[in-house]
Amino acid sequence: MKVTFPHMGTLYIPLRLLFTNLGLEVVVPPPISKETMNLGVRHSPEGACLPFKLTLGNYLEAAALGADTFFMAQGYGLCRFGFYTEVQQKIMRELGYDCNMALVNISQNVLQNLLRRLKELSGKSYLQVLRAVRLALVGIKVLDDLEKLLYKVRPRELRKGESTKVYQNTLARLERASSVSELRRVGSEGLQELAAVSQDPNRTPLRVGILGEFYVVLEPFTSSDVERRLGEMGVEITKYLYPSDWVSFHMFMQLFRIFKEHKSAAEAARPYLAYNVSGDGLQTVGQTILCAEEGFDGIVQLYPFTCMPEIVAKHLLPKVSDDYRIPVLSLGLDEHSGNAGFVTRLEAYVDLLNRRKSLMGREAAK
Amino acid sequence: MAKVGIPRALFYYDYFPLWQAFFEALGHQVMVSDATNKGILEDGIKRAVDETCLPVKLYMGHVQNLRDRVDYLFIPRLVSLEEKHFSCPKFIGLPDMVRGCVPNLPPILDVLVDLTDNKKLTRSSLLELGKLLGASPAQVGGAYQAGLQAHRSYRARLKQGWSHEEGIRGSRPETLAEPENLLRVALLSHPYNICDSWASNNLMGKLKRMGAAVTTADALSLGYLRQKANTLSEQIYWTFEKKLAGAAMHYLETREVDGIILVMAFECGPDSLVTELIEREVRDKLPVMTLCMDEHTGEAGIMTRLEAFVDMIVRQKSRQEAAAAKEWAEA
Repeated sequence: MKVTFPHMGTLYIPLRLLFTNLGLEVVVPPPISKETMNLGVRHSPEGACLPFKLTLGNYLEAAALGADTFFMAQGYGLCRFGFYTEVQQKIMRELGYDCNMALVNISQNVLQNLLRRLKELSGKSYLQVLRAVRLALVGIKVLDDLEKLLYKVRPRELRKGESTKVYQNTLARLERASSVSELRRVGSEGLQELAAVSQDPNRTPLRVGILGEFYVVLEPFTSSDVERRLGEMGVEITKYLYPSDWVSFHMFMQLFRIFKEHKSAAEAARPYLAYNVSGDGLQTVGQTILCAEEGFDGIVQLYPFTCMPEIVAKHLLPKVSDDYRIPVLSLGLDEHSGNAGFVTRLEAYVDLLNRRKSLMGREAAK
Repeated sequence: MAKVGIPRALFYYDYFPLWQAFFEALGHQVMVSDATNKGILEDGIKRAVDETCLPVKLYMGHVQNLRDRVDYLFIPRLVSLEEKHFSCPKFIGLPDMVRGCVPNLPPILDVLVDLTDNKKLTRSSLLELGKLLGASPAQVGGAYQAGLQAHRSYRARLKQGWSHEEGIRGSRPETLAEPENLLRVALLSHPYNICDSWASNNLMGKLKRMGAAVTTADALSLGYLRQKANTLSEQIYWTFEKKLAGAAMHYLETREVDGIILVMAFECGPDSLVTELIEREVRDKLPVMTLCMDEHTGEAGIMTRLEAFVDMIVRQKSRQEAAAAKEWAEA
């Protein structure tokens, strides 16, 4: 048995750790590339959303490397995500792959479902499974902390690209880490190195919130690496979707029936959108308002083309943007998104934000 | 007596008789928007986000068509119509999307229907709606029963083979004996994709003119459809798509039709996956075609595809009959 899973940002590091720690053989799919996309698109329904196509591409590339067990989340909900595996499985079987889906139901009782599935896969005791899960969770936390600092340092760095290099170095070291203490040590070294990148203390970068759908916000390939591009244009970005937050809510708070997630965002959104529309639609609307109140310069909404929850949000964002006077750039992403067009739009948007900021500054000075 | 406006779009084709009976039992007048026309579509396109699906764009157009002549607009928030089954996120955000996109609206009656997570809230939102219209809880209860009654007789008519339009009108033209049809086709889709003859390029009429008897998923009972859908996949958690899957599996098994045409709106999320699943299951066993439509769909293109599909079925049928005759002669 060879286990694999789809990519989503840096999540492959903790996931590989999780399975190797349970004594399972792991095939990490090749990093998402143009070929992954082409492969996924060729075998997917035309109208499926980008995450469907890319994850299918991951599976097919991993299957070519001998993977036969596919680890993925599933569930019932409103958005298509919960139904991915049902269709992907059928497609892969018809292509002649003998595939075994190791699914974790994330509609409710996520932690229990995860532990049960891992125990079943590995044949290890619950204690061993818990230990491996803890290791992965520490990894997730370390990675998220690094990313958060990276977004602060990048727009202030003096030598363009330096913080990215430091970050990638740390990632490479984290890939080799195999214990909780090692993860933590490499993580804090990485944080120190990032903080030591030479920065311009006088710069006050633009502040932009990156909102939208979970997968495309976390997987830089889908958005031509929008966060690096914005950072290098001198924009400090803030994200509100992190795997560690998802984990702490869905795996632990739910256990104690604490439903506090995004409560403030949901409340802020209420005058515009009064009900959860699944996915991250409600949060996109609410967080735009919270960001505006916090004094952000702009919002970038990222979503897969045809994403239902984000389309609902997109109906409401123009009004929010008017009422709270915050410029919103909505970017729908699919296999046809071209790099050049993307960069042009980002540059124009950042120009607009810069101009707006200096005009407002002048007005305030008067 | 207030005028309550109901847009002739989306789930109008599923629930209009229920809603009409409900509001009329409370003593109000129900008004429906005009049949879809070019102006309504253009208004809808202007109001909705450009990349949303055609049915939602049409809905916005119908809202605009109604807004100046009614006291209230009835736009329910359909979250979940049965336990652990849901409708599309756009249906859930619909009242908010309309408020956000169409200006100068009368008050919106947005009753919540969520039978998975919020049964209590569903009840209280119905009572609240009654209060807004000046009705007591008992009156609301009575009106609700009247609505259910109307809904049941509507469903019964659909099962007898009435079209949605005839069912809503409550009468059916006296026809002579059903003509002997050359072939039978199941047109599987959300009713709003196929019942709006203007927006669907009169798909149903075209098929009939080609000599095909057309049947839809609503001619079968819901409980049966749900059960049938599970033979394809137990995972389908969208109420409407479950119906389609159930109908496809029914026709696959019984061979009551000669072919299946699946109609989906471009951009439809649930359909993009469920029709794929259906098509992959059916395509080696029964002729099947998927038509994906949006506001740019041309009549000529639809016609060509329908003709090709019908020709293929007719040819296949005559070849099968010839083979059967030969076999019989040899025996």
